[in-house]
Amino acid sequence: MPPNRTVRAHRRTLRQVLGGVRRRARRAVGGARRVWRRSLQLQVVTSTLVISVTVVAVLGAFLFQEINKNVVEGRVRVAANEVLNDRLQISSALAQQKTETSGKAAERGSVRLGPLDEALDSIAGVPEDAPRMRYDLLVLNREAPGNSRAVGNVEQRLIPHELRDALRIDKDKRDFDHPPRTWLTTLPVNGDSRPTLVTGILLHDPANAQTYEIYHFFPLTQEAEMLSSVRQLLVVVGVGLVLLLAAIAYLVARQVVTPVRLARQAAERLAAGKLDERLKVRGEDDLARLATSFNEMATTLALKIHQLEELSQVQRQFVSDVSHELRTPLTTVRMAADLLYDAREDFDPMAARSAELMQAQLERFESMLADLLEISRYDARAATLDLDSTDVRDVVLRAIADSEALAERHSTRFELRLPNEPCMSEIDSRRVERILRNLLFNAIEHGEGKDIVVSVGADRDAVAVAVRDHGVGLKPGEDTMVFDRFWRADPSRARTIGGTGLGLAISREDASLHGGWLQAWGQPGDGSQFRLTLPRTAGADLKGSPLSLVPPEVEMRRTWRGHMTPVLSPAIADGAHDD
Amino acid sequence: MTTSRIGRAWAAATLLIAVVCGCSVVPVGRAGGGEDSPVGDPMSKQFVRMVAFPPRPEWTAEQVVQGLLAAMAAYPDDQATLAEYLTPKARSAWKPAGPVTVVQDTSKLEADEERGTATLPGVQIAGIESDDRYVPVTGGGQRTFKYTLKKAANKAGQPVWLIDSLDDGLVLTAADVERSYRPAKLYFLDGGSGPDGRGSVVSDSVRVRLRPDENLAETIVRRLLKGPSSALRGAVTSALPENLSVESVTATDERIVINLDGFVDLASLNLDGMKAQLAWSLRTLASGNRPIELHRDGEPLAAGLGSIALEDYKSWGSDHGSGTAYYTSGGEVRWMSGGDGPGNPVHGPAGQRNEYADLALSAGADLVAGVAQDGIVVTPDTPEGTWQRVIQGDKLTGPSWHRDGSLWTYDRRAGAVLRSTADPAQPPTRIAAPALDGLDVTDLRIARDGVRVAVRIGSGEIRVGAITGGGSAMMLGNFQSLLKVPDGQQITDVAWRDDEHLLILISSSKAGPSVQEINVGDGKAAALTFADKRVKSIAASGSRILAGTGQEIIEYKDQGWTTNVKEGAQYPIFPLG
Repeated sequence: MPPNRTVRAHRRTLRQVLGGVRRRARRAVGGARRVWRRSLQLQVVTSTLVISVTVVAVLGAFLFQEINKNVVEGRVRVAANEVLNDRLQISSALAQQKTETSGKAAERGSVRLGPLDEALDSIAGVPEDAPRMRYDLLVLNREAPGNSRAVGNVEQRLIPHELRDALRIDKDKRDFDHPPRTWLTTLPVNGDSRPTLVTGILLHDPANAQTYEIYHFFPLTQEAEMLSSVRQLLVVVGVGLVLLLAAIAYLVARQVVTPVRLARQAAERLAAGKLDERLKVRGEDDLARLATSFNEMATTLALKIHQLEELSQVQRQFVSDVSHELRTPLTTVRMAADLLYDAREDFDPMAARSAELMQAQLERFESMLADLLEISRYDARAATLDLDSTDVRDVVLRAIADSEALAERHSTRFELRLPNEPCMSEIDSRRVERILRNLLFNAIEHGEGKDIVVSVGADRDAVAVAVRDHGVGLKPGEDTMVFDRFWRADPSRARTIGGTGLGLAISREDASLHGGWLQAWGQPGDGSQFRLTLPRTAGADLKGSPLSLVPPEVEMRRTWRGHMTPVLSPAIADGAHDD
Repeated sequence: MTTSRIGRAWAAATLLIAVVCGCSVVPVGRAGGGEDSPVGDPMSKQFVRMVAFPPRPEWTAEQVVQGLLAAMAAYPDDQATLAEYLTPKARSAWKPAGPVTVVQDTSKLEADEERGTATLPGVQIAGIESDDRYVPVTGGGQRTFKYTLKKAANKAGQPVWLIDSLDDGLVLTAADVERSYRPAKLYFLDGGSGPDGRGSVVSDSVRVRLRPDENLAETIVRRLLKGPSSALRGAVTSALPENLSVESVTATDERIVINLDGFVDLASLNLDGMKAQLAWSLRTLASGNRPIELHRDGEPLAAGLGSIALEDYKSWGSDHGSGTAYYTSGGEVRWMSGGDGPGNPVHGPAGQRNEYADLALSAGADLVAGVAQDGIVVTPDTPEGTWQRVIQGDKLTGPSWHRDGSLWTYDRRAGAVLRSTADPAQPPTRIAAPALDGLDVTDLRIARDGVRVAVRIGSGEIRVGAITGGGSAMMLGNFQSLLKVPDGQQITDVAWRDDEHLLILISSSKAGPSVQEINVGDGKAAALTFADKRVKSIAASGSRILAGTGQEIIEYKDQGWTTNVKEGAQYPIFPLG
């Protein structure tokens, strides 16, 4: 139904929005965490802030509480004095009334006021221009009519009931001389609530056997204002202190962190190969000594690396020189051997067999020497590419044609899986052909006569050629070792096709020269697969390969078996990103 | 990046301080009601008031009636307690409204518990009218207040004595009034009778009840807004708009702020008159010469024009005379010199020997009026002036000058009040005075404020009224009896001292003459006595009081009488009065 759908759509939108918010929040938190984890300075300043805020808050609260207590206590003490004074004044006025036999009461104008009124008048400063009293007053006599008075804007209902109850208990116990009882409360005054100190005290008039309750209401407005400004001051000072501490922590951390940061940057540059990177040494403190040690370490490292490089150079030069030097005598030996070989039919069978053997081993020697020279060219970085836009399929076909004779000998057949479109790529076809040849020879050699599958794949950025055999396969870890120089899967096995042990190493170098990858996969019993991936444009970075390194059927089988058997993860050659 | 982070941190810290400081333990930055008043300020003076309790079961009937009186004293602050003293019947029958009866404190309550009655044989000394006028009762107002009591259950169900019947209205003792009422002078505007026609202020004495939740100034302004009392109703006007109410009156050391509430039409507002009224009414409270500021709804009124400097309105008061005294010597009007010797006669015919009686001087002392055989004659005190008759009649009372320059008298034969413009060409006009019809008016004196009028009825009573209305509607009204002397005493002379104090010379065959000084506003009286029994006439102005014995002029100074003119003097005169 449409409304339902609308609701659902709306809900979905809401969920999407929430999801977006969550994502963004997670990203922000992640960013903050990254910043936090990466900045030592931020950590120092934050910890300082947290600790100082805690300390200042605790101290401030304690201080304020103390001041508050003292101010209020002081006010209560002053108030108690005033209360006792007033009580004394009222009490003496009431006593005087008795002694003066009521006829001679004080007069104001023509009107006679009672002793209670007289006393209260003088307390409140009614008759003369006395200072206005700073508190309100309730004098209550519940026993006799007309003997209760109020001064100021106070009423009975404003008396806190705790105070009233306390006075009632005192009255019942006839404890008339109990010191003033105090109670802090807030009273409504003109719509505001005013902090007020209320005190209550009893006054016993023995002559009339009457008890007066005297309540004083002291406004604490001034005290509250004072405390308020003290609190503001404390807050301002506290915040200022915290900020000051944070600023100090920031500066101190900066003093330490900046040289550390410089050292880190220098170490990074050193790691990146800039061996002449050094730190500036200022002063003699720990950081200066760190810089000195760093510089010494860098110098030592540079020296060692230099020595090793020189040694390596010498070795490479030696191999190259040896190879070159061997070529001249070999040529002579070769010519002599050719003569002997051609004339072998004239020899007795023993000598003829020796001539054949010599011929074969000389060919092997020659190719080994050629490979050594090729390798030394790579080592001397003398190898160059002769790039040309070529259809990789043609190169593959040529390499297969070259290998056919060997394949026939091993009764091995090739299965070709070529795309229909041309796979153009900028390559040095001679080198690529050599790589493929090497791979094919290798596959024939280890394929145990089973079919060899050659697949070509291409995508927008790269072309790939995979050579799959179904031989013994590779043990775990061997997929990288196969590219080592003179490496042998089984040292006891004889070389049947006279491999030099350098073929895959050279192929690897050729692939690297193209900016491509040469990777191997293998599993015992499942055979192996070698994949060559080359960028379509020379020099472009490879991001992936159009063909998978693990053969599709193996991958499928692995998926089928699922989790039943632990899968040996296919080893990936260095720097390769498989997809 | 680091700099911006510091900046952000500072901003956050500043915000934090602002937020934390914003919430304080006490709200600050606004006027806290009457709390701001400086200590010792008459405006915020405390007062003692009665607190009442409901009746208690152990109280006797007498105590219950005493408690009722206390509850009556506290009634305006606490109406609930009084109701607890009354039975339901009395509660529905009793009405608190009406004038307040003030009885003497010494009234002794007599209670008869068996019959459930109590009587308070009080001597009523005064009443406080509904319009807050304090009217003393002279001549022994013996009254008995009867209360019927009944045992009934109070709120808590306990049996207590309750009042079953009582007279309407509140009964207060003089002490109650002393405690919670304060005399206040409200000032209103006369109809512009002053010499410059601007008008001046006329005082109206009332007793205002103090309220615990507001200061005296607020009470006075609130009362001022209600208008004049019955003594001056119709005679004076108020410039304060009727729809205004007082929000608060607060005082600081520097100023007094009256915050008014209500609509003010500034175009039709007599702002000057209003300010004069407030300035005069609050004059005694605004001590320290503090200016008064008028606010409306918390905002200054009329863009700062609402500020009142008391000095500016001093001239609005009525003229109490120049202080120069005159006297007659064988018909000659003479200045009174500072020394003991005889003064110089005034210019013109008044300074020469004449046979006219009851000579009176106008406001500027430039006109002299006197009673001749056939009427009242007037002369200017210029050398070329002559006596001219302005009012005809053979039974006229002594002339009395009004501050607007008119001359008033009472024609005893016709029984009419006459007003003359002192112009011989214009006949006098009759002024209606229905309250005086049929009375034997022997004297008529216009007060210096030009509003109040004192009349002597026969020789035993003084009544005070006011000139109400204006123009053709002018009449004398609002008469109230001020003083009645008992038999054997006679009122021989009357003189206004200022706007509201009237001096009455009473002669008694036994005790000799005495002077009663009565405040016509609240009836307060003070007596001055003479050593000299020959005193026949009296005159006063401001602080000076003079009396004439027929031979000498004596002056009241420092609580005693001193002789001013030794011989040949008949009676003293002050302008107006």
